[in-house]
Amino acid sequence: MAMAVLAAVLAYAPLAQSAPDVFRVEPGMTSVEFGVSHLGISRQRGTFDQTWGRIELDGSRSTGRIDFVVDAASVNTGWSVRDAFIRGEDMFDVEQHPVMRFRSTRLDFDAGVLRRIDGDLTLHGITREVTSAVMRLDCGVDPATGRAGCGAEATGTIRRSDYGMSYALPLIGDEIDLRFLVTAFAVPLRGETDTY
Amino acid sequence: MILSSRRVVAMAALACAVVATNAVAAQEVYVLDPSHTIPMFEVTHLGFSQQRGSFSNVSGRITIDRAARKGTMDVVVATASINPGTPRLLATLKGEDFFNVEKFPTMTYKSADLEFDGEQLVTVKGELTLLGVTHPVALKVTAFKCGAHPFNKRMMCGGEASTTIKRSEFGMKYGIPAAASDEIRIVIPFEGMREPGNAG
Repeated sequence: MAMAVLAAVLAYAPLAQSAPDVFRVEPGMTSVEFGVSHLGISRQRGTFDQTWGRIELDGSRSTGRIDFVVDAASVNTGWSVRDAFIRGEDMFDVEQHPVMRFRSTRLDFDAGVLRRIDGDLTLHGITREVTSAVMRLDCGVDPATGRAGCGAEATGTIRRSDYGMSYALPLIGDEIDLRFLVTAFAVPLRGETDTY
Repeated sequence: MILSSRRVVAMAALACAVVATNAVAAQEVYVLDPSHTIPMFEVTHLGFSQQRGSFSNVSGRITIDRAARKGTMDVVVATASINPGTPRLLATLKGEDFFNVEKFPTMTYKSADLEFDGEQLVTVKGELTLLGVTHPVALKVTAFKCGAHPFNKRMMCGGEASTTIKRSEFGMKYGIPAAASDEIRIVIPFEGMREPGNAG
């Protein structure tokens, strides 16, 4: 569904300069968790389960960039009635806005380790600056495939009203906590054109 | 707001059950709202990849005796309602190597030991039965809060319960540690609606 859009927006020319590590976000192994207050009584949680993205990191130069896309229709709260409501016009309006997209503008490293990500989040057709703290970044090798990969957890907070989603405020809270659970595998050969 | 026919049916059934019990005067009974009580689990794959899932069919109740600062919790989770983030894992997780849902259609949690800090429910000490194996599991409760529902005005309580278990202790040993870690992080946002049948 959103694949055609994604193929267009994610078609990058490989960077010619230094040799950053390039990772491709693994769809189906990456999720974005969100939490929102319900009636002030509990914090309800769900995930978006379909994602794509590309991550370039060069720890030695403390540079990199991230482009991350989420299928807005892939919301999964464990209750189908609520999922349909979130997809609908009062919330994400996925017919009009099928994807959310995050593009980094600045990455902060501490001794070569990625700690903070600033960037632009486009959601519901509105783009705002957001910041995200990297809570964990572990890497390893998938023994089955020999592929090198990393798992990262990054957190942030947004207000849905900033993105034009003000339905049912404040019964459903404005502040949304986000938790990105990203698994990404190294692109096989540096400089090789990777399509996804 | 969204109304759930499932919730209405569950409440009707449980309301009948509650009336039949010998309610203690000071005891408040809260029936878990299955639409807003979604246990989530998180497991590490390949040693570095965090994977999430949830269970979408939960029923249960919490009783609270505020004066005595005591209470109970009983929860039943339909194991076949497992909802992995990625559909390709569904059959594997329902199968014999993991939840074995045909033989063990439910997992249960029972506690008669709720701990309060003032008005706040902070800890639940109980027993989890999974794959027919029972072990003590303590839940930490954060953000416990009670208040009136804005529309029907009934008292409700909610919060978030969390814990970490080792699946191997329940005999779920397949694929440790590469496919899925032994440690399973569990987070349960919950809401319960007070039963009107027993006046507190």
